[in-house]
Amino acid sequence: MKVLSSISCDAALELISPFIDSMVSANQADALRAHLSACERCRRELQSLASLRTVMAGVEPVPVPEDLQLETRIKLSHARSHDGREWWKSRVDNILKPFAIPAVMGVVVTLLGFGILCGGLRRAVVADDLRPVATIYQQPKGTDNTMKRLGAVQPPLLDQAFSIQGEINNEGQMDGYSVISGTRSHGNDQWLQELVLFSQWRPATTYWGLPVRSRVILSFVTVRG
Amino acid sequence: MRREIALNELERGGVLDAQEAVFVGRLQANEDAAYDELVRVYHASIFHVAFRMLGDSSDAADAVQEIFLKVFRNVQGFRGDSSLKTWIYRIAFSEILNRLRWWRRRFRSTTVSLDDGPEGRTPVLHLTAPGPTPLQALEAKEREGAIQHALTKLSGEHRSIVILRDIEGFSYSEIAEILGISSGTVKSRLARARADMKKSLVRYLPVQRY
Repeated sequence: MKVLSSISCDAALELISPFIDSMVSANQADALRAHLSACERCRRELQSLASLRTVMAGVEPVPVPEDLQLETRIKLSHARSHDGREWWKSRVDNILKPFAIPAVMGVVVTLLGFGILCGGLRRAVVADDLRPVATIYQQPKGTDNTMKRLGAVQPPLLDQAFSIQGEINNEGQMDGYSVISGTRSHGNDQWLQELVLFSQWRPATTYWGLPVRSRVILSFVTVRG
Repeated sequence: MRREIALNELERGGVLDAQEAVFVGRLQANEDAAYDELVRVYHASIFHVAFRMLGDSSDAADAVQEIFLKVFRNVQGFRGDSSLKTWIYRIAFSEILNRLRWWRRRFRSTTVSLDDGPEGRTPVLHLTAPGPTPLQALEAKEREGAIQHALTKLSGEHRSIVILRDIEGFSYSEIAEILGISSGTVKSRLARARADMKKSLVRYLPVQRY
């Protein structure tokens, strides 16, 4: 091999690859050209590498699977949607967490305040009003003894139904009554006073269990035969 | 029309210009249409390099999907230091090289035939009819198979460089950026890789005057 240039074959072979990519300096290119003009082996090396580059550049693109684009978009969409939900969840958590304890405390305090206020109202109802709030009201009931007495005492013969409205205090005693329907008579009044005197009631109560003043309506009929 | 211009700019893969910056902004805003465009523009080229690197269509398709997921997960951190295309290819080659390393670790102890690829698998090519005559088609198919076989005989690092330079046409600086190495390393690795490729493909190389 006859080399007339200033660079060796090893140096020339190192330059050939970048030379075909135009990635050598002007000086390197000149030195390589000078070497190639005198070196058959290096010239063949340059030619084969240039051919290789041509062959590689002509590689056909491989066919892409038909559903790859769609599948990728779907997978990406799922990931993005999941990530979006996570993002919103963390944002909401971050916003709510600082408010959580104050909010819970606020609710507790409100409930306590409302409860205390309701208790106060119930006492006011006992004192001033015979009609407790309907949603927190339990009807008065006669005790077992009263119910037995009502069943056992023989009332006077009644021509028609006899109804009274009694007022029951918060201790379960009937304070008074008024006749709603039926004919009043001495016998009836005596029977009613005896009944009222010995009757005992479970007073109506509020939701919180406080006894309140209430009304009860009683009707009596004589069953013949 | 504006969208066409934007996509042309994207495909060019140069410096991050205003239109590309707008497109990246749309990606970072998690805009549906932007992701559809991204997949439409890049899925084929990413599949192409994934197939050349992995040698299997199914593996390449899996890799493409994973690459786009990684693009989505990391796009918020993209600052425009390189072009979007270079950045996507960097993610792509990171994923592909990881797969190759995993594959090599898993099958390290198996016996590999010299006629097979480095992963013990014969590369599968599904080619469309490339030439007008059956003979040309056969020759092209044989050459394609030989190229793929020669590629699979290279190491992952050398294969990456040959594919990026000689098939995909990236510049040395872009390859350096994608693979995270210096331009000097690109130059030396490319020279060695080409020398190995030349040995494998010598019978397919036409005499060419330079």
